Amino acid sequence: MATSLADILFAAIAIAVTVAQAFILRSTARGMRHAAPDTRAGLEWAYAIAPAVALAALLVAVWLAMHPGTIEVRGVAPGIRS
Amino acid sequence: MTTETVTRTRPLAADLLTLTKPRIISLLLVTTAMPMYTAGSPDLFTVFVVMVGGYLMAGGANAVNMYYDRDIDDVMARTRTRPIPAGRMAPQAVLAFGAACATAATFLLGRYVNVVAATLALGGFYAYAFVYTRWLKRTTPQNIVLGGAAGAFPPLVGWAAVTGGVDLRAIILFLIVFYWTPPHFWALALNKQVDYGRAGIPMAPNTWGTRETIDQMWWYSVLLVALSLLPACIGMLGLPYVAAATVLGAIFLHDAWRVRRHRDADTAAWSAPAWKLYKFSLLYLALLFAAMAVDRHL
Repeated sequence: MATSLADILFAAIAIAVTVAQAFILRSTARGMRHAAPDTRAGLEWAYAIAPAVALAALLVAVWLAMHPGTIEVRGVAPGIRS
Repeated sequence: MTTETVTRTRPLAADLLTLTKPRIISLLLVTTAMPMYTAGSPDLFTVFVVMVGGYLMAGGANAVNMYYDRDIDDVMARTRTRPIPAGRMAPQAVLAFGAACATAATFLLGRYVNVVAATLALGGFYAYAFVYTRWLKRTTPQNIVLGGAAGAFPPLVGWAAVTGGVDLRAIILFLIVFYWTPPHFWALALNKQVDYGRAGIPMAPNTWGTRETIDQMWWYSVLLVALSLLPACIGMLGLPYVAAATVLGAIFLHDAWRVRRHRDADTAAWSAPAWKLYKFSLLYLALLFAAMAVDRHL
């Protein structure tokens, strides 16, 4: 697949994933209000957010794989030269 | 249920096969074998050993699951005829069978494939038997979401069996199965709410309500279909796969939307569409993974 086409596809996927994940979290919040009051809200939120974090990490990893060399260390910071 | 009450009315071999949940494993084997052909061109012996090892590992996990769930299996209509609640097998024998299967699988995969594949398969066993069954299943409505990780190990095993490791491409396959699990399983859980409620399992429909569950099924379906196209972005798969994933994804979204359209209606309205989504989701995953393997060898 040509690079430009891959970039367009990636952008479309990233938008769809972000929107879907946002609605999933919103629905989870609404669902937790239906749940019994003794539900451990903090833990439930951690469970809900963990897949979203993993998804964000995946998108970053895919983007870096599509654009190798995008992030590189440019020299040594001033003040720590030997 | 104790050993004293065990009565044998069915061949032992049939019960041992039931403990492994063969119908569920058949899909797991597809998601193990297809990534092997997506990763490369494995020899038939390796594929055979991975299939046998994969069956034993997943079958062992399913047996241990039946051991731990024997109390709730007894009160759910769907599971009441399983070997332990029906009184045909002693719980300890089921646990021993599960452990033996997992041990044999670890040996087979470690000795004849590689250590990484064996370790990942064992990781899947622990994730299902302990993290999902013992921890998540009875404590949170997110059980299916997080527990989906256990069912997503097979692509990692298949990939590692061929390449000797796991990379970004394998992780994408893992996440496709991971995000396929919520719409797939909640479509079943919607129609089994009474059973799960009787057993006290906090499934999403019983805890969050039908409307929120159906809403999340839709958004997880969107997520799944989007993620299924990700392999094309990194050149892992080409246009034939993209075409197959798009068509399959469109059908999946259509079926999920038919459920969502009736989310505020009563059970009669969404029950049949939910069953249809459940059945198609099985076919979807098998065909999607088959399309990956075909694309790599075109």
